[in-house]
Amino acid sequence: MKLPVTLLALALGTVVTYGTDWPTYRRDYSRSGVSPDPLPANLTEAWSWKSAHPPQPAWQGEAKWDGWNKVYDMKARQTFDRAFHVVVAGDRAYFGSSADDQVRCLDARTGAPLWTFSTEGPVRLAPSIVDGRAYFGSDDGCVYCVDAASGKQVWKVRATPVDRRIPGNGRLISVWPVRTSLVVQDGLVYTSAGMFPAEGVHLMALEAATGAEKWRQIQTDLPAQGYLLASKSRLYVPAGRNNPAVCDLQNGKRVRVVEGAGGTYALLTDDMLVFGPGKTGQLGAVEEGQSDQLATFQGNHMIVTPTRSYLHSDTEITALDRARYLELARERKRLATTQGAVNKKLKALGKKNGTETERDALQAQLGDLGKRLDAATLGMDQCLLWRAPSSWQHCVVLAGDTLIAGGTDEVAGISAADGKVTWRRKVSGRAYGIAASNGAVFVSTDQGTIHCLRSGGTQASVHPIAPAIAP
Amino acid sequence: MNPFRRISPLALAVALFLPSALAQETGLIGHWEFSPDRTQNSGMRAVSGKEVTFSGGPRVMKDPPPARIELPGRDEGILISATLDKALVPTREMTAEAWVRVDRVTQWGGILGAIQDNGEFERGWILGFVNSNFSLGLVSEKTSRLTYLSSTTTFETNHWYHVVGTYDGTEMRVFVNGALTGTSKEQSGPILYPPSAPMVIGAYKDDDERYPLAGAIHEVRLYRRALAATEVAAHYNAKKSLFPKATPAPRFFKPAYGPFVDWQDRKSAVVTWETDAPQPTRLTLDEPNGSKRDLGDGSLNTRHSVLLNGLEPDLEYHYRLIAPNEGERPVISRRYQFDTSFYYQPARAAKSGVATAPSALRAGEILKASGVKQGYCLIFGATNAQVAVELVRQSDLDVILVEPDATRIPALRATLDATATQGMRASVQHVTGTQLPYGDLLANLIVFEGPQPPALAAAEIHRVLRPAGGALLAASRAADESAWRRWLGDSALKGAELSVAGDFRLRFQRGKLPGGGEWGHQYGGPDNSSCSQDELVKGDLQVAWWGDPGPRPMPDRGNRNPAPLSVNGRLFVQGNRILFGLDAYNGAILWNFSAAEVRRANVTRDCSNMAASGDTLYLAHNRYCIAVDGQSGNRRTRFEVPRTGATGPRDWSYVAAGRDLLIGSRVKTDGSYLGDDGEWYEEYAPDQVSRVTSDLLFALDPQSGKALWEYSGGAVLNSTLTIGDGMIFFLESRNPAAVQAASCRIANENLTDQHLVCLDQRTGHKLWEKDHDFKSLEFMTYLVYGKNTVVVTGTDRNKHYHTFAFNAPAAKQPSDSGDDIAKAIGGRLLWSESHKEDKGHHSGHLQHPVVIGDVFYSDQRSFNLVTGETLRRDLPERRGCGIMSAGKDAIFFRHHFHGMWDLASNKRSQFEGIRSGCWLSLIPAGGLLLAPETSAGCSCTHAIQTSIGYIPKAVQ
Repeated sequence: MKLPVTLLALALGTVVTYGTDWPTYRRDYSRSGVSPDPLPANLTEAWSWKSAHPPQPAWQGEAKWDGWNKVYDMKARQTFDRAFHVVVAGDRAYFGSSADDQVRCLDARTGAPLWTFSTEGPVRLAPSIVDGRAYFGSDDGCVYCVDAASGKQVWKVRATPVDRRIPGNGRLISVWPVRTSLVVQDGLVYTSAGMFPAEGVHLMALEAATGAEKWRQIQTDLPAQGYLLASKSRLYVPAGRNNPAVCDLQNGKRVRVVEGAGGTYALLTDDMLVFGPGKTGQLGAVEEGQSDQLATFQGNHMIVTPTRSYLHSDTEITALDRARYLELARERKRLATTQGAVNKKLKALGKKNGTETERDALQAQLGDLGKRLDAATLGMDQCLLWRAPSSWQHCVVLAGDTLIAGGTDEVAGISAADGKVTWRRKVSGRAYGIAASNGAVFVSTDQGTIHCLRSGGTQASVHPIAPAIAP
Repeated sequence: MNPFRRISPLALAVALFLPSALAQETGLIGHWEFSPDRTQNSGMRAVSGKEVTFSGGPRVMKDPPPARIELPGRDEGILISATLDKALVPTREMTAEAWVRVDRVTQWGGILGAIQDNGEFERGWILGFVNSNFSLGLVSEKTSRLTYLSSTTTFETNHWYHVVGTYDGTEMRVFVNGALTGTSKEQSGPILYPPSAPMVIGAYKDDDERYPLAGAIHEVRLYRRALAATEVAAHYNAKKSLFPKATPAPRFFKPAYGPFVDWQDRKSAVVTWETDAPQPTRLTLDEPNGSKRDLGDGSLNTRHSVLLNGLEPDLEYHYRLIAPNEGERPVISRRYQFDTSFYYQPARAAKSGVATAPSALRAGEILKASGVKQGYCLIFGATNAQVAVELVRQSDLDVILVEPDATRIPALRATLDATATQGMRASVQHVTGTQLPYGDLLANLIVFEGPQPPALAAAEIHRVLRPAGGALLAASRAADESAWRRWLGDSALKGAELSVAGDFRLRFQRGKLPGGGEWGHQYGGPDNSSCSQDELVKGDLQVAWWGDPGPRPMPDRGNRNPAPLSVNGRLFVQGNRILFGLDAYNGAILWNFSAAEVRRANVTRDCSNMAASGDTLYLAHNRYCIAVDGQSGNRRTRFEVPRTGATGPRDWSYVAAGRDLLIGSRVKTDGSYLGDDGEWYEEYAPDQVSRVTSDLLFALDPQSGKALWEYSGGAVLNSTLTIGDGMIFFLESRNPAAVQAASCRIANENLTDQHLVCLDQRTGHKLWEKDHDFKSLEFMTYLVYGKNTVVVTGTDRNKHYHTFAFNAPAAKQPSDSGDDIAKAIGGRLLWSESHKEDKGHHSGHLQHPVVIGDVFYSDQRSFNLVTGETLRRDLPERRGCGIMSAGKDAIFFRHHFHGMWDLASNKRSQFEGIRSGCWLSLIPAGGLLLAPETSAGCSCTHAIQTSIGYIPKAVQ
């Protein structure tokens, strides 16, 4: 793996990126999905790899409707394992499998298998490649460190003191599966095990070199499922359908649980946590140090650059003037807080208490606040830089000046400058995972296929691992 | 008089067909004509005025005409403005006009509006409908309260209408198809607006509520003046020819049996249904991509079957059954749904790969000798993985090779990998030591392949073996019998057969777990006690298994739906028109099928459509009761509801099952509650609290189908049907109006002259009856039995509980002369009690009681069942909308999460992160607490939505 060459927002300690590699899910522990390197022209498929069986997500999806609130087609809030997400270091591509319990390393140039490593349960989340080692967890309840070059085990740690295996999501796995990714930072590995609070959900830090335990906290109220995020001082723990918890990186102690509509998709910018998609495809933004939301966005994913935010929904991608939008969002939040307080005062006065003058004054204040709120909202609407229709709703990343969006049977390159579609490529299935590294794009689908797109890729070399399967 | 009202028809025609001219039309604020030609990005350009933004993906189309936006009535939205823009709002006069088609009648509907109707805060206006009447709602500064002016005419669904609402500052008017159909002078002066409100098309939407329009809109116009009647008529006449003439409404038919959808493989399924007479019925399939397939050979049969192939995974398909037209009138079924997400068959092994002929033979012998083909199989002592591969190929088993020697593992895995079985169907687990890492009772099959008895103790093997049929086989005969006897020792396996035929040294089949209860009926047993009599589920519990079915196939929050059942180590779950059979001990899905006509809700006022006994699930389905094989899901046989004295179609309603008796009741067809529109059934309203009643009770022999007896005496309240100690109890109304009602769903005021009746279960003879005043039981009527006491309970409309207990001596042997004696001693009022509901929220007034031994638990209290003495008033708080269930030593309920009250320790515990449904879904049976997923649809962010089994830490 190449050495880190870019440190973004170092002062805030939120982002560590690595040259042109994509060494962890969405490239960094902010889960930014942003690579600074532009893509070469003429991307075509260089190779593809197909699993004998498609990914086996732990969770099928949400209910069809919320009958009480008449909300239909609710969003799946736990989509972290719908594809074999690829990470890339140098000329090697790595991914885990929820179908055959293995972690694989392929030659990123040709797709040729280099090594596999078997665990005793589904590997649902992508490994992290750090300093020549691959770190990952498994539903078998263990945390693994293997040599990234050879696939040889360096160390293996059972994440909980007890080894109890029961049927879980159709497999005989640990009561405490490792269903968050591993964050490897400053010589420590952060991860979790367990999903039933009543059984204890273990957050832990291990020595990256040896696997020795540094600290452990046991949650009894929230599960831990999804990709962990980290800043220099905080660990952000997705909680399945619920809202993420923010913990102290030094000792794992809970700092807060943020408010929102739940979901395992999360993004950490230099000053806020964005997560969702709730039940309707809504992202909530919570500022550092806060629990309540600053703003909500109708969308499934977001890409953030210093000047722009790109919001990705089922039907469109929009680019926003980020600074102005946030300024107005903060203004609106302040106004809404004041409006709440005035409403409370008015309610306290009721019909019998206070004078007509007092009530009129409060009503007038409310009217003024309403107008200012409307103005702020209108201003936020006017932060739109461009809007482009999109049928590529499953995933989005940014490579240089190109947004790459994954749809069903297709991925597309979209100019970040103006939203124009610059290229489209066919893939097999729903493209839930995209990695952009070293001039190549790796697309992971729900069919268990990994497509590698490269400049001038001349032929698709498919690497099946097993004979055909009966339907 | 507004000077602009006089517009000649010619000028109007020009305006209508020349959009550029239309922009000049006097007072026009906006004109939105929905056509694909105008769509852009995620919205549409207006003919005149502001563009609109779409959300939720509505379809804009022009073929077939008219051009329109189709709104399924879900989460689609058409937003003109998120805030009140002065340029968009009429102030003193207005006209809202639309061409609209409504496909579903709702209490409130919106076509165009900018409104806030939040409690006493009423502002703005809306053109829409109230039930089946188009309406204009508007509030002026005069009243500050909205007037909803409804058209005096009703509209029909699926027809196009021209609808106009006008307000000229003094009068509101509604026009339908060019004719004035309503006026009101309640409002006058300027229109009163809220500080903020969205202006939307196709929904009634304010800050508190949203009622989407299900239908289509061709165009909408908004003016800041009131159009004259002549203008309205001219607008109507100018466009009416664009809209299709009304066609004969289809006649909906329901197949005599089915339809059922059974999987063939991942990409194909078979739909089967029957008709009473030979008919050339067909099936039209709506593909998710919008295309249609017309299937079926149209042959003249009563049994029909269609293969759906090429199915894509994880998508929704819809289909209708089509019968021959009646003249010009189409005859079609309702639109059924089939979801390819609900495929749970195990993955298959590779077609070719490792050649394993001897292993295939061996695997076949193992499966035959054990009789086990589903669930989890542990293999000890395997020399290679080939038998495991063949077990995968020949069964649905998930095979785990338990291997203590790490050096042998790579070779075993290589074999699995080569056959694409590694992981999903077979795995190798490195296990050392004297204790297995596996949870209790989970293995359906354990196989010893090694030459000697294992190093593990027999007790440890027994610990993981599933009760109620789990099998242990020792494959090798290398070791002598005495070695095996020593290994068995005095363990619970000591009853194993040794030297059995088929080249097996040892075979053991585990029986049911002693003390494990069963939940074969809606409320546990047919006694409605909500107690399974399970003696094992108590103390501290831990997770035994979790997995599918998840929320997707489930009805919203399991709201007053039939409860899951669990007997003989299986768990039966009714989703939304889909049935599941699971292994209760490990959650393995044994089978599932889609049953489009199986749906029941509001069992608070009805009864369940399922009962289970032994290896059979009995399922009421229209006129039939189907006997479903519990292990395979095969619909083994069916029984038809008796026709005695019936003058119209009838359905099978109540089901109670025992070994040699199947008891049913009969209702008028289509009377059951379905709950398809998210109804909560919590309020006191006739369409929520009317009772479903049966006109006939009957019994038959489930082995032979032979009818045993029938009883008819009045309108039997289904929610009261109760069986205990050989007696059947129920309330029936003998009011002739109730008995003769057209529907089986009868309002309370007609259910007068109620009697508590007791029949002999075996003969149907009446043992006694009691005339009693139960009219205070307005919200619901429950009946439970225990200890020769029958209790009738419910709440009145003020949410006060009223409970009446009667003596019910055990039934005598059948005797022609014994009835009178029984009458004399049964039905005596033992005690009664009334109190205001304690809970006060989340259906606290609808709680079903629990009877454990001689204690009657109701609301937040407990009473002596026989004397009525109040024992406690401090039952644990239950925040959620569900009701209680119980074993002998614990009560289960939803608080915030899955909750349990251990009676011995008085300790209340919760399982954080996971909640049960809004009725009854925590099932203590077979030594486990089973909780199929029922939180589906909940607005909450509960972290986990899964089916789950809990097991006591000290079960063995």
